[in-house]
Amino acid sequence: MSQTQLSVADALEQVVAETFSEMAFLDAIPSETPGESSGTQVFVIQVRGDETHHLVLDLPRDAKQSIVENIIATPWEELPSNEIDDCLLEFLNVLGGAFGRLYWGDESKYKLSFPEVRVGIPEEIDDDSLESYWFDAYGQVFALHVARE
Amino acid sequence: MDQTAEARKVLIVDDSSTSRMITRRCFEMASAGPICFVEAPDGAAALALLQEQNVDLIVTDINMPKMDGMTFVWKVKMNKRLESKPIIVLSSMKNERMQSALAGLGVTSFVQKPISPAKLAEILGEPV
Repeated sequence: MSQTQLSVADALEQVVAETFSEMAFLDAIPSETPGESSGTQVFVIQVRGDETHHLVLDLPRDAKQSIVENIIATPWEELPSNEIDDCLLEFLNVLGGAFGRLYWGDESKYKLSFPEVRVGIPEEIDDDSLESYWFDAYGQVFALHVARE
Repeated sequence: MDQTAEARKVLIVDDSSTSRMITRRCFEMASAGPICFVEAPDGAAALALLQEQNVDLIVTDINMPKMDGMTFVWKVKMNKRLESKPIIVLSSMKNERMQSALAGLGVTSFVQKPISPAKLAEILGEPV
């Protein structure tokens, strides 16, 4: 761990802003108030460096639609569910990679798992270590839940 | 003149169809000349495709099922017929060790995702 290492919160704030802006052309900033968990489908990736972080992207439907339509440039109604899932998984993959680089630094080695679609917070994630970070993209509030092993 | 006969053929290797689509669009925006694409979802499928088709440039992801990008690059560089093909690695992961290993294998360029037309144009401006 380097002396200048960012906190998880600071790293997430930066990578969420960058990834939303560069990939989905959306501004996303930390939300002062939490939103509601989608309660169903979430997107999960593990970022393994000095320790393992599970990132769980929890998006309401409107946020999913904005991200996917901006990336694929096709109306939501015309997209099959597998393309929507692939788009959001790739979005989380990019976000996870940016988090690893920023959190551990360019000189550190880290790996990513294959991102997955899951229903609810995966059982293997320890609830006690789970922290929720809420963001706002044009009024669409969403969460990144992070658990550290 | 048949433009397709002169089009540069790019092989895009990535398990994400979204990522392949983004890469295609960036090439279409960044490339000065005609360009066409062939695609594969992993390194094994890409190697099979390279046995049948000639390509001018390879763009590959690293983190893929069946055969990852590092193994795929190594196999291309160990193949006498393919070793001179320029390779751009496009990955969401970035660290100095991985970049050093890829440079040692002869990879032309490394780009951290998300790719953009501007990043690609910068690379394509170089003799790849």
